[in-house]
Amino acid sequence: MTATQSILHVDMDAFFVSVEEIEDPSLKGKAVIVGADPDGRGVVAAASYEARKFGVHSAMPIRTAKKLCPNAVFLRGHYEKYRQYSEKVGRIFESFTPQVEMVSIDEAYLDLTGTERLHGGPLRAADRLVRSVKERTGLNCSVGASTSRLVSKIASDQAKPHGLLWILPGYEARFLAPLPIRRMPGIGKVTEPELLSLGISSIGDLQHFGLGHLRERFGKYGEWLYRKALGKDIEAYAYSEEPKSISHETTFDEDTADAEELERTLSWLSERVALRLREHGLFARTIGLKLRNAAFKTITRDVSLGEPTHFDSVIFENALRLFEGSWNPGDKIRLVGVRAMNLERASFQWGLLDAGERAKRERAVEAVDKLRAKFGFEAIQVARSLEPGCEPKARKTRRFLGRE
Amino acid sequence: MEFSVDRDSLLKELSLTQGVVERKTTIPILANLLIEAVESTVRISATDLELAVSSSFPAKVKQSGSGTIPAKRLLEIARTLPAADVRFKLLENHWVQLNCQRSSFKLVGMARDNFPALPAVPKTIATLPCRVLTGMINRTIFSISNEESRYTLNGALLVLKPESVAMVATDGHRLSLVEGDVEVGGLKNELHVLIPKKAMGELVKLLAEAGEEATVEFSKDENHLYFSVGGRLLVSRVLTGQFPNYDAVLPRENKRVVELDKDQFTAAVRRVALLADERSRAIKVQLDSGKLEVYSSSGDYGEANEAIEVKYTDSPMQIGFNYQYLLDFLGVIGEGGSVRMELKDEQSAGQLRPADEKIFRYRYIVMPMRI
Repeated sequence: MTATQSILHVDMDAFFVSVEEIEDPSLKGKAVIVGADPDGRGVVAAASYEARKFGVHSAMPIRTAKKLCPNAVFLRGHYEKYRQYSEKVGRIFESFTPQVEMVSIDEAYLDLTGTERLHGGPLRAADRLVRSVKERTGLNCSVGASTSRLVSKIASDQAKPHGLLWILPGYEARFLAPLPIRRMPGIGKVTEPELLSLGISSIGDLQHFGLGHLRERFGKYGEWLYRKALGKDIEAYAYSEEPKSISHETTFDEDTADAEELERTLSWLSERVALRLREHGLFARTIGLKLRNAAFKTITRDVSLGEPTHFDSVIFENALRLFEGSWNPGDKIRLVGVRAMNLERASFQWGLLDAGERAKRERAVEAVDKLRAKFGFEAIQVARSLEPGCEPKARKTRRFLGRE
Repeated sequence: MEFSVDRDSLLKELSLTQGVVERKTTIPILANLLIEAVESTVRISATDLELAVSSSFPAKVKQSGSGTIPAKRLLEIARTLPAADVRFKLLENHWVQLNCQRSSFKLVGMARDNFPALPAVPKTIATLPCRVLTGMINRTIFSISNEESRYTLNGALLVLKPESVAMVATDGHRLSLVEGDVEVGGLKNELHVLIPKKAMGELVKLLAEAGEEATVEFSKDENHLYFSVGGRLLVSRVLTGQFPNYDAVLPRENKRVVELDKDQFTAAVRRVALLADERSRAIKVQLDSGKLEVYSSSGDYGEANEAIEVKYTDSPMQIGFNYQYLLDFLGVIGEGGSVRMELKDEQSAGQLRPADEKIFRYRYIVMPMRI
C-alpha cells in the first residue's frame, strides 16, 4: 500500500427511506420509519431525517421508535426494490472504477488510485459521482475521500447528509484528532469505557497516548488502535474482495416452537443464501446454523461438506440436520440464521454418484436465477419455503427487517 | 485378581487394543481397559461404544477376578519395562498393583461394573481367509468418505456369497470395487453389510497379527458385527442406511485404453503433483498417439510436465484428475506390474485397474475434474 492511494467511501443517505420516497413522493418531508411491525418486537431498519429529529435511529426497538415518534409513517419495507436500487447505484460506481466493493446494500468503497487522468483529482471525481447518482436514481449520497478506507469512511459520516469531504494526503491524523473515539470503527461498548477510564476520549488522545503505552495495555490490539488513530488501514485494500461468508437470519415477530414454521424459515433462508452464493459465483464448503431462543441463548453449529455447493436444497438439508440436532422440540425460538462459510471460487471436482442429477439441478437453478433477476426473489420459490394456503406475496413473518 | 504374564505378549495385546480406547474422556471408564483373569487365561477389552476389541492370552493366574486400568498409562508402562514377567494384583478401592523385577506401580483403577458390557458373540455365519479380507480392506478403505453428513458412505459395503466376495467403497468422487472368486465357508445366503471405516482400520491390525494363512470368523446380530480372528474379537456397531447403487456408475463404454508401467506412472504423477494447485490438487492428463503426458500448474509455484511413452492410437484427449485420488490407488496395488487406464471423455468417469491381478478383480473409478 502506498501513501498515494485514493479511496472513496460512498454511503447512501437514509437509503431505504429515500427509495420509499421516490416510489411514493407523498412521503417526502414526513417522518418515515422503515422496519418491523410497530406493535411487534422487531427493530428499526431505517429512519428519515425528520424521524431522526425525534431521536429515532436504526437498530432501535421499533416500539421505542413508536413512543418517540408516534405520528411517523411506519413501513414494512420493500427489500426487492432496495436491492434493485442498490444494483443501479453499483453500476454507476463501476462506471468510475472497476475496483468497487459494495460492503452492504447502501455503502461501498471505490478505489480510484490511478484514475486521476480520467477523472481528475478525488474531489472532482467524488463531485461527479454524487451528481451522477442523484441524476440517474434520484438518491442522495455522501462521500468521504482520502488515502485510506478508514479515514474515508469516517469522512463520509462527517459529510452527511448529501455532502462531500476530502481529507488531503498528510492531514489524516489531524482530521481524526478532535473526533470522539466512538467514531472509530471497531471501538464499541467494550473498548470505549476502558479507554475513557484512561482519560482517552478523542482520537487525538489516542495518538498522544502513544504506541508503547497502547501496546503495553492492549497488546496486539493496542498496535492496531494506534495505527487506526493515525488513519492507516489495517488490511491492504483487496481488489473486489470476496465475502468470507454469506449469511441470512431472521427474527420472528413472535417466538415460535412450531416445527413447520421453523423448517419453512430455514428453507427460505437457505434459498437466500444459495442465491447470494451464485450471484458471487461462489461455492460453500461449510454450512452453519444459528439459533436464538426466547431466553436469548444463542447457539451456532456447522457442518463441512465433502463437495462445495451453491444449491438451495443441499444448504437446506444440512441446515435442517443441524437444526434437528440442536433444537429441543417445544423450545421457543426467537431467531434463526443460515450461513455459508469456507467459500471457494468453483467446484472443480465432478461427482460420481450424482452426475446426472447435478446437471439437472444446475439447469434448474440457472432458470430460477434468470427469473429472479427479472421479477425479483419472490417471483419463484420452493414450496417448502411458503406458508400453507398463503400466496407468496402475502408473507407476514419474514420480511426483511434489518440491514445486512 | 492376581496373575503374571510375560511383558512381550502383554505389550502386543495392549498395542492392538489401543486404537479403540476413547481419547476424549467424556466417559472416563472408556479410557480404561477391562482386565479379566479366569483359570489360565487373561482377557483385555477396550471400547469406545462404537467399536470394541478384546483379546485373550495365556497367563499364570493365581486368583481369578477382574479390574479396569487406564489404558494409555498401562501401555506406556509396558513399553518401558524389561522383557520379564509382569505381575498384576487387584488391591482395595479398584487400585491395581504391577510388579516387574524391581519396578513397582500402583495404578488407580475404576470399578469393573462401570465398564460397558460387551454383547455376546452369536453363531458364526461365514469364514474367510485373512488375506482375502485384508486385501479387500486395503483396496477400498481410502475411498471411504470422511464426511459425516453422508453417513451411508462412512463405511464399505461387504458382499458375501457362498462362492464369491466383494467390497465396495466410495466418497462420491471415486469408487473402489474389489471382487474375488473365493469360497466362503459356512455361508448359505447372500449377505450385504456396511462396515464402518474405523472398524476396518482396527480389523486390519488384528488380521495382520493373525497372519495371512489364518481365517476370520464372521457373525452378526441386529446391531453388531463380530469378527473373530486369532483369539481376538472385534465388535462393531452396524452402519445402517442404503449404500448407493454402485453398479449404475461402473463405466461401460470406456474405449480409450492405455496400459502404463505402474511404477513409472506413479513416479511421474508424484513429481508433477509437486507443482499442482494446492487446493484443488488438479493435474491434467493428455493422451496423444504414442504418448501420455501429465501436467500441473499452480499460480503460486509454477508448472510441471512429464511424458511417458505408451501404446495409444485412439484420438487425442485431455482429462483432469485429483492427483491424490490417483496416488491412493497406485499406492495399494503393490510394486511393479502395469495399470490400465480406461477413459471415455473428459467429463466421464475414468477407470483404473491393475493389468495383472491374481486373487481379485479390482476396479477403481474416478470422476475427473474440470480443467
